[in-house]
Amino acid sequence: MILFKAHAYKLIFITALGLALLSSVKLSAIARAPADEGISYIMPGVVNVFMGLGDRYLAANLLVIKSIISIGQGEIHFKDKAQLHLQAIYLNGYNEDNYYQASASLPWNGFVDEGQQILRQARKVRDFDPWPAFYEGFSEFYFYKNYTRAADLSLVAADRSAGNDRQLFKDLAAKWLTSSANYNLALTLVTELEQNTKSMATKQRLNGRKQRLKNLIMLEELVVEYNRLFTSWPINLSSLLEKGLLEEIPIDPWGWQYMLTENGSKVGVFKK
Amino acid sequence: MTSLIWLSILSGYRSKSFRLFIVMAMASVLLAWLASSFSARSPATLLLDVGMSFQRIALILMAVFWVQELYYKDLEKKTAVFLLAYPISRPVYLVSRFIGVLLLTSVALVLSASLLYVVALLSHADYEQLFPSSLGLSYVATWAYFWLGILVIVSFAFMLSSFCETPNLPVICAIGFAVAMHAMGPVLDYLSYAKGVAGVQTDWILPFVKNALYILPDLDRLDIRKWSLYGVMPSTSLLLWGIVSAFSYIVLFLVVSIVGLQRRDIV
Repeated sequence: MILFKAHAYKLIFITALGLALLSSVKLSAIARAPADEGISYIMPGVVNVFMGLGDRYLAANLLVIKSIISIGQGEIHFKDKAQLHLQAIYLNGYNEDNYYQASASLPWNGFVDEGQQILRQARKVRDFDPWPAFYEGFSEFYFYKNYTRAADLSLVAADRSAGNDRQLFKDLAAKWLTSSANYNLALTLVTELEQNTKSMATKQRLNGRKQRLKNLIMLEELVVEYNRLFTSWPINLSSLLEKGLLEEIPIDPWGWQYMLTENGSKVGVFKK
Repeated sequence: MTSLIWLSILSGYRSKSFRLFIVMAMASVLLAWLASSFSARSPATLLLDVGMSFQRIALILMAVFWVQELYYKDLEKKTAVFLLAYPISRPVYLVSRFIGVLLLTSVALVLSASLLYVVALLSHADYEQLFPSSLGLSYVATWAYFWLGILVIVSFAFMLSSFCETPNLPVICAIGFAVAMHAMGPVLDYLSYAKGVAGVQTDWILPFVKNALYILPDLDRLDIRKWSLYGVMPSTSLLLWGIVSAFSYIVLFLVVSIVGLQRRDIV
């Protein structure tokens, strides 16, 4: 066989060396995938239970501390962080630092769904704590623009609170409902808040809010009436004046401006 | 029997294990205190949480080493023969050794719990948590249930020691047993509720863990620290059945230990 002859080895060696060098040159020219900072490989949850020597509380604490001490900015970094907090929430749903840290970092770095999953689970397990519901509601409001859901969650937080916090969460729910354009529901809530507060300053503020909501409800009713009469939506609020449906555009208690939205079918209030 | 128990306690105390335990307990509390500095909202709770975890690990290790020192080595080095030369039966010898380990473990547990209690009282007093943890009845109950769990592991270590003739095997197996029996509950919960997070692991582990827990002691059920840490009291049925389960397994393992010892050729 030619393979067993001495000169053949030299030939194979030189050919292999040449190909190795050529392939290195070719490979170096091919762009690599952009690098991103990751904490490390995240072990599966079951493995992490054993890393905590079978202790679910210790395993959860180690995961949360690992997330806290990790520093980075890239997408992989926050993906890993989300995974750490998700694993921890299912090992010890009561861990306060877990949902707090998760809500402080994940939604603000593009991992809103993961953040909400953690807060949802914390809200279910920590049924005495208003804050997971509040943070979840805030994310619904701010990131998803789901105002009705946000208000519902703020009311859950109110149910779990007492004193000023309870008022604050109810107040916020009313605000978020106003953003959802569900003005009747918001008015009911604000009226209840106004009746139950002892503070004159709060009462005054809530009265202003009530007036704004009443104005919005009245304007929306007129817009519907306009549509019923003229089978089209008004172009602006002046159209209501022109058709004699409204004597004057109401003045907002805080000087904001009422305007038509959604092709004239809804009314909103905006800063001038 | 009383003198045998006293002898066991003295042997346990004279060995260097107690000093080792004190070092481990101090190190555990120090680690817990350091870990608590990572908490943004509940440092005192985290201190207790991590402290309980590490202290329990230290106690399990010590308890298993005491079984090795007082029972397994007695059999291995044939010193048990001298004790049995007195008119005492093998079951009495084994039970007195078990009670000896039980009392040593109890003293160590009280020391651990007290040390952690003092450190928890003194630490983070300047920060008022929104949801403070409790150091009252719930704290005592948590440690009492830890004690039950440790006794299950101790009785298992006795059972292994009665049969094993390979050095250190009872220690290794008992520690493995402790980790596995504590892990079964969290693994089952994790796989059942963490859908999407657990991924593919669920398919084969879940049925296995579910079935295994029918015949193995679920030591996670004896971990009721959420009562002390978060004020969430476990249901009465969990508390009662936890005790029944623990005592049943302790008796079961001890009976098998006695059978093993009686059949063993010590001489």
